[in-house]
Amino acid sequence: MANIVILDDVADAVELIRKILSRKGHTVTGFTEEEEAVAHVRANSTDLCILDIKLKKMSGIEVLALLKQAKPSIKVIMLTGYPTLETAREAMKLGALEYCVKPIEKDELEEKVAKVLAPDRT
Amino acid sequence: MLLAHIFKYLTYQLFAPGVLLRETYEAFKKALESDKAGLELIAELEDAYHTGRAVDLAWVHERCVRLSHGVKNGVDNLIKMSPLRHLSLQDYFKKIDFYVTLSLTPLEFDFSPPFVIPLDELPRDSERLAGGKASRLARIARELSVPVPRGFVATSRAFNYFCEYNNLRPDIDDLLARVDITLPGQIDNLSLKLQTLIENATVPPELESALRDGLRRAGMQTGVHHGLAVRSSAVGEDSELTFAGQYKTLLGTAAENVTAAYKLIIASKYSASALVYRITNGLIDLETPMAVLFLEMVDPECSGVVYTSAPENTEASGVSIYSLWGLGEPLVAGEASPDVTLLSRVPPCRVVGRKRGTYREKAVPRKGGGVVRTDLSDSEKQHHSLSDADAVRLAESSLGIESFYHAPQDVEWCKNRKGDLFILQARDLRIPPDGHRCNTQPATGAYEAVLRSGERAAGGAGGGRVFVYAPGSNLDKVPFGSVLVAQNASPDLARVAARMNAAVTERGSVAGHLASVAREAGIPLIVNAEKATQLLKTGEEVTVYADEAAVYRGIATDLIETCKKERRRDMTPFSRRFRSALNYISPLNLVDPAAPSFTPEDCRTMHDILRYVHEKAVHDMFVAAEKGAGSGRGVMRLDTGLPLAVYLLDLGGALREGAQPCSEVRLDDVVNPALGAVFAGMCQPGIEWPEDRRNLDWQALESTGNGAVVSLDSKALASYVLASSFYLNLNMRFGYHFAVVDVLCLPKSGSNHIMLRYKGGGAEYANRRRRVDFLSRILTAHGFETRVTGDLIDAALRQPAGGTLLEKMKIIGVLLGSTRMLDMVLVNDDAVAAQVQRFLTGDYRLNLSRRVVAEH
Repeated sequence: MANIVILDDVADAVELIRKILSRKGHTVTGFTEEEEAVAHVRANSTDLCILDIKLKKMSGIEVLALLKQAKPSIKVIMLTGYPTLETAREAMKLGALEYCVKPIEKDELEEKVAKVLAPDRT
Repeated sequence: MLLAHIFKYLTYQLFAPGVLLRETYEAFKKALESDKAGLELIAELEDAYHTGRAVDLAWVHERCVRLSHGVKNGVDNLIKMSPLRHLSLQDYFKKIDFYVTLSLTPLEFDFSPPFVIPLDELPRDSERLAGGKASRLARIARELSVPVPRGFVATSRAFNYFCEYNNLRPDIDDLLARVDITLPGQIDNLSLKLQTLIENATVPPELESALRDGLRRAGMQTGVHHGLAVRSSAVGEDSELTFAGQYKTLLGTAAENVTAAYKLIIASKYSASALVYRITNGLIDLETPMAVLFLEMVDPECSGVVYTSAPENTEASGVSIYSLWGLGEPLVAGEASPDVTLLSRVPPCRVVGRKRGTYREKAVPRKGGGVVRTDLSDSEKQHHSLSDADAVRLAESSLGIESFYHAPQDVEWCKNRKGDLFILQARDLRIPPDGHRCNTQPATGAYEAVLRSGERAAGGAGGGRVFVYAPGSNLDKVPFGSVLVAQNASPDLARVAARMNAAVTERGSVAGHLASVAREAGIPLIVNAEKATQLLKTGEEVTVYADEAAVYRGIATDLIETCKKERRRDMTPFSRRFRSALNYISPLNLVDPAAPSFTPEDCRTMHDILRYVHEKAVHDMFVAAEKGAGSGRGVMRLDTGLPLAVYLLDLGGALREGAQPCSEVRLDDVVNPALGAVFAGMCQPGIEWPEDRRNLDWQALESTGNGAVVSLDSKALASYVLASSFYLNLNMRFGYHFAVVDVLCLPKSGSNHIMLRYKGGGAEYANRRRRVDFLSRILTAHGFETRVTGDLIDAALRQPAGGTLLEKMKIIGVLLGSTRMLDMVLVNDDAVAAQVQRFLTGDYRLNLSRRVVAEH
């Protein structure tokens, strides 16, 4: 099972995703503040980050760049209610593995997370 | 339009002065129109994918955009009908729509500098920046110290910038979306428009100055005596696919003409043959931007091509060098049969064989640019163009490149008058593991040879009618399944590769561009076949057996079968993107309207959304009418005597005079003649209905696997009829899905019609296809015009006379009554034919074993 970090500016959204993934046996830590999430990832072993794009101070893309700089092997899923091709391009270029659009259902989230965590994922 | 007036009339008759209800009805009709248009587009896309139709990604994209508009329209109209329900459907539509767009959009698209890089400064892995040809040339020059001419490359980003600066993309995509490579003449027309777009566009000032800077940095602004060779170096070229000879090369270009030459080369990205090649091989326009290589031109004594291995299989282990005096252009263009030198591969290489070519002319750079043909000198006529010593140097150098890339190589080279050898290009020779030749040696003694000369350039056997191509004539006249016979092995012939079963040319060589393309496409090709255009006559049937360089009279089916190879249809960049987009378009997850998972949240595809909209629009229309009619006219349950739940909305005059509108009416009370006829059809002998409607098992019909039996008393599984005295709109449950039948039956009207539409369902694609095939055959036999696209059928009968109309409605009733069980009967194409036969003789019993019925 994986260590997963969730960053979303809406606490309820963090909690919802945390519940879904915890039930799957993952250790999930949620944040609404960018700096706290980045500090956590720097200090702790993390397999996967799920990042919202619209955050409080930075954009999810900026956080993605910071995380990849700190830990290049970290896996990242972007999650947004405001999808654009530009942010999708930017996210993929920076190494995000999935670009998911809200609203996201439980089974879709579980499926995407399983796919990204699969060992043969390159 | 008469029909529009009738709708308006009916709307006002029924709903005036209830404005709200009238608007609901308008929205309902629009939602159904969106459903129709959307399903047609989905069927067209599915059909293109499943049949492997050769289209550009822009074609797919254009249809997806129309689908998106249609589905959005459906969603908006459903929400207009019931403003407080289905709201989340908009969010799920936006999400799925974005996934479709994302699937079709290449993510890497860079148009930032550098626009120009000298060859010796190219970074190590620069294929995406500098294209296949330039990046490989730079790499072997740097890492193997192979001599290459001075030069620079205008990058793929420069090409992207050129397109962005001139805002060409919308026009390019618009033209690419119209490409149909099977239509005669069309490709030339579109290709010309595309190339004109590029040629009329402006080279951005930054790019123009970068090109001048490129000349300076490569040390070529002065002292380039023989001009420049300007060559394509597209991303994807000279890699997995060679694109051999499909793009333009300009020789002898003056330094001051680099900008004009640049435009000509990038325009050749859209030449007819390059377009056909790219689309046929499943590559994407945006993913194959054109970099351009500018090399100092060498005034060559001789030039040619090295194959470090026989292109047919690696076991024939010699190195072959093809050479001729002057420039190599006539060789790769398939116009000359070159000198050949064979060498051993084991170092030190040594010459083991020589063969003199048959060419009489050579190509040389012309003063002031371009190329001119001249006769060979007496000395050149007498001597092989390549000395043994040079052959050994070239072979060793080429084997070094082979060792570096771990693959046999196809190397273009030239030698200047001082005796220096240069490598101009090196690409992998793609040899399939089992080669191109026939696996077994077929016995050919029984066949009559019409021609037995030349060399195998691409192995195998193929038969068909001969088409002798005269240079300069229209290639579109080449029929499908031809054996193409031509003087030159010109790479332009590759444009009609899909129409050739085999080809024979009088000139050319194994190392020409056409030979590369023929091997890639698996087309048997004989080159250097003397007098082929005289010995083979247009129209006669022959079999080309390239392995033995022989052409036999007639179609030697067993020979062709023996040599037949299963061509693996690999996923291409195009098919991967298309499939990915279709995953968000085509599958139907919302099959059961009675299931709790029939919600916007469970929509995963455009098809799901359309399905949801159709189901809910019909449902909400009836709910609205039930609430709003008030006067007693409105929604009634129709007792048809069959185990079906059917609801009727009387649009005016549907019931006989004196009938009391109440919650349930009998079929006898309905005066619309078409409705009576359709149910009469459903009651024909031979059509079986279960005793108890609650046991009618839609789930089995759809093969969705969970086996649940649902109650048909539920409105979620009912059929719905909107009817007046002369108009009928029947949303008939056909499995879990609606078949829509629309009928106008005025007593004396030339505008009467019957229209039927049905698409798919949740069963396997093959089953769905057979179902529409069956419907199409029966309806066509009954005079309907039918159009089948994928698993969608549209059938129309226009202006039928009164009696005929009712007779045809009866047939529709028979079909609707039978189709419940069709999937269990139509297990293969033969079963479809047999069942059609029975139906057309009036025997409506399905050939269904009792055992199967019992199981279901």
